[in-house]
Amino acid sequence: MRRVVLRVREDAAEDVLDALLAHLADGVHERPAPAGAVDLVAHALTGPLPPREELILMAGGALMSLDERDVPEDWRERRRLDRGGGVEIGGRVWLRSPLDPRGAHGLLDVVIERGSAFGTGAHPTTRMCLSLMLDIEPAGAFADLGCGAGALAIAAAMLGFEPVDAVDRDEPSVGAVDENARHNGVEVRAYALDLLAEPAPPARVVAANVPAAVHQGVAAQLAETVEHLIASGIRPESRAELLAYYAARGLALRDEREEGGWLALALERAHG
Amino acid sequence: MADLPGQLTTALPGGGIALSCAKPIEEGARAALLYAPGLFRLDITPREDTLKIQVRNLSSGPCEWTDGGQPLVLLAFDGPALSAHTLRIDVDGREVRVLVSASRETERGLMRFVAQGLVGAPA
Repeated sequence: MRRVVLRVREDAAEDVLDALLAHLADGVHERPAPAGAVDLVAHALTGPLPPREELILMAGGALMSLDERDVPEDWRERRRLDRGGGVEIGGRVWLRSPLDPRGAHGLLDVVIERGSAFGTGAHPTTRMCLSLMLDIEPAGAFADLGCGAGALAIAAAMLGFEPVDAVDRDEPSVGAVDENARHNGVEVRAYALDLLAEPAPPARVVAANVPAAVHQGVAAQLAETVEHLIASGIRPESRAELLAYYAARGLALRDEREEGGWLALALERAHG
Repeated sequence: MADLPGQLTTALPGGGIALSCAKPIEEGARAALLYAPGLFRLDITPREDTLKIQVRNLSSGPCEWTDGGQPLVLLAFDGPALSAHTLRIDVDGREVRVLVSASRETERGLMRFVAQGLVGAPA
């Protein structure tokens, strides 16, 4: 399969995309590059890519370099080749899929296979949640609400939380969490749960990576046992709304992160 | 921009436009899903279970979301699409209603999108 990588000036990337997207039906990956540049990466997935000369014309004066090469047809092989899946979080955790290489020595190696569920850890909300979790002493019960493939629950179990519950409204997630927990050698109790209808499992620490409407339901039925809550799955515009939901349950803001249009809040129980 | 690959464009009585598009998109890639010359282009980026949506204003007037526009949670599985999202945009005084649904082709590392856009007649 043919791959092209156009390195263009970051300040002109939107103009180049205007020209490219009309011709690259399968889409373009935007990847940060050094020195104020961005790499626009396209594959000939469902049809041929335009010839090199046309791509150069489309990129115009913003083009810094153009690389063409053949890459494997299988997306898993391409991902392995790119070594792009693993992410280091907080200098302590390496979150990756089985296709990605191990992280540096000393990092906690959390391996998540997506299967038919969601949440390998590549998503900004998962990364931000895990980063905020690392500031909390890993002791007592942990609950991962909206667990997807279980990245947060499994990382929590590996960090030392016990017991760990992982819930999601989607049945395929449950099987994925079980499989991933087994692969990582930890125990996680995974089950399907509708958080709008039923309370979250009681825990000392809760990570809720769910839409804003679900946060409202979680907050309304939140157990008194919760000392720390990581809230994500929301955009910055929902910040005040969420803080109000949880303030009514005695939780106050401790820290926050924002990335890629998503927000993560670390809340803790206000004592006294 | 020339015609968008995978899109059908139909002029409606009274000056409206109907757009429809079906295409596979690589997870993590940004692709143009709907395009109305001189009005807007709607780009999407599927990543895991979310969908980032960007609108390029190609009109000389204002362009704003009236419903949607934030990253969406997109539940998609292999097989038929289970859900669809409705979005609304106001472009240069014309209302645009967009319906997007998605399914997943895990074996190919793709998300398959079907979208319809109804552009209202000029005011």
